[in-house]
Amino acid sequence: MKQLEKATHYEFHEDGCYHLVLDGDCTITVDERINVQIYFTYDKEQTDQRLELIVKPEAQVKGLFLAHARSAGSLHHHFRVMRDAGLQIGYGELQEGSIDADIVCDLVETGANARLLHTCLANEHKHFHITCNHLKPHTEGLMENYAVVSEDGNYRMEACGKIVKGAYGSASHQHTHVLTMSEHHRSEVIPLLLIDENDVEASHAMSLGQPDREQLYYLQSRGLSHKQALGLLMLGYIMPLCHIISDDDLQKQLQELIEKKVGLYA
Amino acid sequence: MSELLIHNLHVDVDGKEILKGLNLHVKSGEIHALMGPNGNGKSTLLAAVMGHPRYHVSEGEILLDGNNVLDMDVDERSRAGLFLGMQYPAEVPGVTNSDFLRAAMNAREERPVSLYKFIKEMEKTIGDLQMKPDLAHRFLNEGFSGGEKKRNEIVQMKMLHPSIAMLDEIDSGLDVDALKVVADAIVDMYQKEELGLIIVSHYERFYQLLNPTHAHVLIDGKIVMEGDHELVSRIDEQGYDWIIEELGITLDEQEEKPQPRMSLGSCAVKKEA
Repeated sequence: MKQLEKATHYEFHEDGCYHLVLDGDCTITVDERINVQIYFTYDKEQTDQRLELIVKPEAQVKGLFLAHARSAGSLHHHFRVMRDAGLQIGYGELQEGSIDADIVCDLVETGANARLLHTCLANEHKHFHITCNHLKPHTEGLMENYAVVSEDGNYRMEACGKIVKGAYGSASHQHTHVLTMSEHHRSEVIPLLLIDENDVEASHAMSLGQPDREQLYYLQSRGLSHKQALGLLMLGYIMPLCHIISDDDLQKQLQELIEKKVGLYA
Repeated sequence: MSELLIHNLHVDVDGKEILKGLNLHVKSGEIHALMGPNGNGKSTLLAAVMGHPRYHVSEGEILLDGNNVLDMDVDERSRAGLFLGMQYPAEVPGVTNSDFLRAAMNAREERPVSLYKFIKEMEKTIGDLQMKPDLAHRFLNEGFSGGEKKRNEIVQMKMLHPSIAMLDEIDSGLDVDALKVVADAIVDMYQKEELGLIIVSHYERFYQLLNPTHAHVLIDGKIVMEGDHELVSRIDEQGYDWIIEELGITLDEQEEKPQPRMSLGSCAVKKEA
């Protein structure tokens, strides 16, 4: 993985796997037919981070966002995906600290597709608003949101798939799954589908609830303590994040971080 | 050498008494066939020994190597050496078999098992059970066929090395070939590790493959008859009615009565109008 120096603008003209430390506002352009994987981290305690990423025609981009330090603030991310280009983005909101995030993905040209995976350990104020706009025909969008809300957590996910008039043949899907670990929490999920075209596919699914007793019993019957069994269930919610970027070292590092965060081997 | 001693066990579920003073003694190197009509407490016994929270022990004791099992949490019972292969294992989406088993193995080790050793052992065990190699990466029991779930229970048993294993209708959902594979895996472990086994099954074919050293008939919450593999064969031929009549057992009215035995021949005969 190639480490990039801090800058406010990046242009990718070569395939590769990159690590980019975000520090303030940033714009990124990935050139036509370029295939890149980008690991984004931000270390600052206070973040008010703005990012614009343009995926040019037939390019393929995989991105993973991870905050390493306790952070509080807001995120404003805007993705623009052009003709027949693909974007996969994963967010790991695993750190402590409150956050408000506004994430917009525009599928600007025909054949654009995007997968937005959002994972969150919500122990404080964690509010997210994710929108996927289908602006042209035959665009595909998938939003997958997983959250584990612990004691005193305040989680809100508003996920909106919007297909405008004329964007026929498009598909907008979303599902959100929230595991609540305590009765003292606030969890709110608002799935929205705004459809102005007839010839489209759209769906949303949602689950929100406490750990299943039978699952816990089953895990404990194999020797896991109650805490470890809960940790394993939590792991199931966050682990999809590991597979966004196909870098073995990063995947291993991420798996260890997640296992530690959910208290599996504590 | 391990031994499980169950004495005068009374268990109720949702206020209804299911086990009514049950006694059982199982030692390493013994295979106990636990038989009885449906709805008389076989699964209740195994779940109560494992510590399912829904099953309330109102009286009696369960000792594993002299230690009071009833004082232990479910996970402590597992780490003490008990294993329950379940009739309906839970599905846990998002958790892979390998993550689960590695966590379960680490839970009983002072130091985490090395990844290399774990992968080798899991690959071998999956091979022994003739399961597909992708089992390790599939989510725990999610989308598994009935037979795959049962074989996966045996994979777990082999990797966790219990001293006393209880298998609740582990043969249901298995075709003839898979039944042999599972039975061979159980017998192999029984011989190599001197495992103590309690097997609940309705089929003599499975018991023939396992060759139980003891057999027990559980009716109306109690062990009413004990014997060896000859008792298993007689029940397969004659059902339970003769035991109920011979012992003069009166079942509670609300109790589910054993189904009368019926041959396939009489079912399949087309009656003329």
